[in-house]
Amino acid sequence: MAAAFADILDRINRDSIGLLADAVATWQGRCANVVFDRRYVNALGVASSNPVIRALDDSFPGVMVGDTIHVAGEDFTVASIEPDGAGVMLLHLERAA
Amino acid sequence: MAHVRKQVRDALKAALTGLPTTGARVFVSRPEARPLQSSELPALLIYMGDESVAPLRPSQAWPQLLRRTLSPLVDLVLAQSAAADDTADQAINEIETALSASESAARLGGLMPEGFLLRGISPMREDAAGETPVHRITLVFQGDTFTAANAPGVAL
Repeated sequence: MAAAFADILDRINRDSIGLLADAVATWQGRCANVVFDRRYVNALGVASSNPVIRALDDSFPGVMVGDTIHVAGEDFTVASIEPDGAGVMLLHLERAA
Repeated sequence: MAHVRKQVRDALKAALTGLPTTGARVFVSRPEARPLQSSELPALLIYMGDESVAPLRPSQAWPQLLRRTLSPLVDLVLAQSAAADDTADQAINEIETALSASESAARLGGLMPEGFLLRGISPMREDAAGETPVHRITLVFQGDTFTAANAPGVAL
């Protein structure tokens, strides 16, 4: 039963990322479809954006904070990794130095 | 004649414009609706803090002479980097030096005859929500101006 639900969850994750993906991210030569969000934020009175990638866990296995990811024509540094525990992870990005 | 509060803000801006680290990026009372852009960093933001007003002599006849203790605030805003602390300290060095460069500067051009002093520096605050983390430090200054109650724009 648990294995069957895990399969369903995996299928849902792949289908949703597949439908919602709006960008291709590249990490260490590995490409994957991702949902790229870059909403406006005000950081201590400075206008900025908050770039975030939503991807399947197995899109970038072993990705670490500090790694470089290329998406939407720019290089970013992975600032934090937030797995949701159900097969999808959020990568919060910073502009690469 | 503008209120001495404005005169103090304007005098601060004049004294702090053109410093090596922050250059011409000195803003007075910049509204929240117009946040800084990353291209404008590092920058100084000048705004007025608390002010206390007291008569010099409570029983004095009209017009009373007032001692106005002003606390102008200068915020240093800079992008995060490995050398952010050093950059901030360099900017603070330049600010303190500029405001003590002469007797006139130390009295804010005569607006504060008893001296204009740095009273404190806040811890460096960081916000990493943006694509480039930002740091902000507040420098708190203090000095006294003297005006007549019926002429708040004339520094005595």
